[in-house]
Amino acid sequence: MRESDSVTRLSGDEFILFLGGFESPQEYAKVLDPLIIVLGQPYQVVSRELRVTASVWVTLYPRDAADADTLLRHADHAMYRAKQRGRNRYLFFNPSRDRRARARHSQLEQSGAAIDGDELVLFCQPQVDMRRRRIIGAEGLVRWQHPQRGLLSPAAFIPLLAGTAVQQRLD
Amino acid sequence: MLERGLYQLTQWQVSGLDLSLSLNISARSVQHASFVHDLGERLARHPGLTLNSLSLEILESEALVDLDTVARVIEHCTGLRVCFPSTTSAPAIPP
Repeated sequence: MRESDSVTRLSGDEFILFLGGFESPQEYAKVLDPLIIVLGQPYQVVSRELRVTASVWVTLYPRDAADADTLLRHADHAMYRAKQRGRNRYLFFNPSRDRRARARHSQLEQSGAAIDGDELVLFCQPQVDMRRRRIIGAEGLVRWQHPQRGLLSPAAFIPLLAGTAVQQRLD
Repeated sequence: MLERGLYQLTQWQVSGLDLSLSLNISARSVQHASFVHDLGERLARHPGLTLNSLSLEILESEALVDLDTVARVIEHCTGLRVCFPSTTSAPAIPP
């Protein structure tokens, strides 16, 4: 760490480092690479050699957000991804990924609310036996009677729900 | 939607319309442990329903994870007189 940096312990094995004064992204690497290497060094405890791994997640001010809470939330997201991809590495918070994730989350919530609010309706499309010229059955298809956007076809919302608990509720 | 479909189907049958209804259902629902049980209960709540009038189609962009479970579910549903038209002959894994 440099003179100007500060380190805070957030909880348990979570620490926050405040690093400032960088002019370009390449400069972060000069601090973060050695940090990961140092943390990865083996420790000699009695006769055993122990190693710890570190996942580092990085969010940038002012690029990513304006306030401390949001920055910490971003860092938390990036941490989750860093752990998923294996330890001993650092990852940057990705603003566009975050926007997409939040948009998806909000759409899922709205779809769930639509089920609760009884906005989904079942339309029946007749199946016709052309030879005998009569209706033999129907296929039920869901439509969303959206209060602002009007009647939505399944294509507008079903793909988004695929594989989620919301879709199961829809069934 | 299953509930609404059953209601609709009952309404048709009460009005003398002999129609079948096909509904889409997600693979997630079909693979849920209590699916067959819940379906049986739902059907029991619509006692006026003529059997063999409901068919379910597994609508999923993802593959079915557990084919054995799904095969068992389809078998049980046949017992309930609910058919899976596109899945009884071939697993429904749409492109």
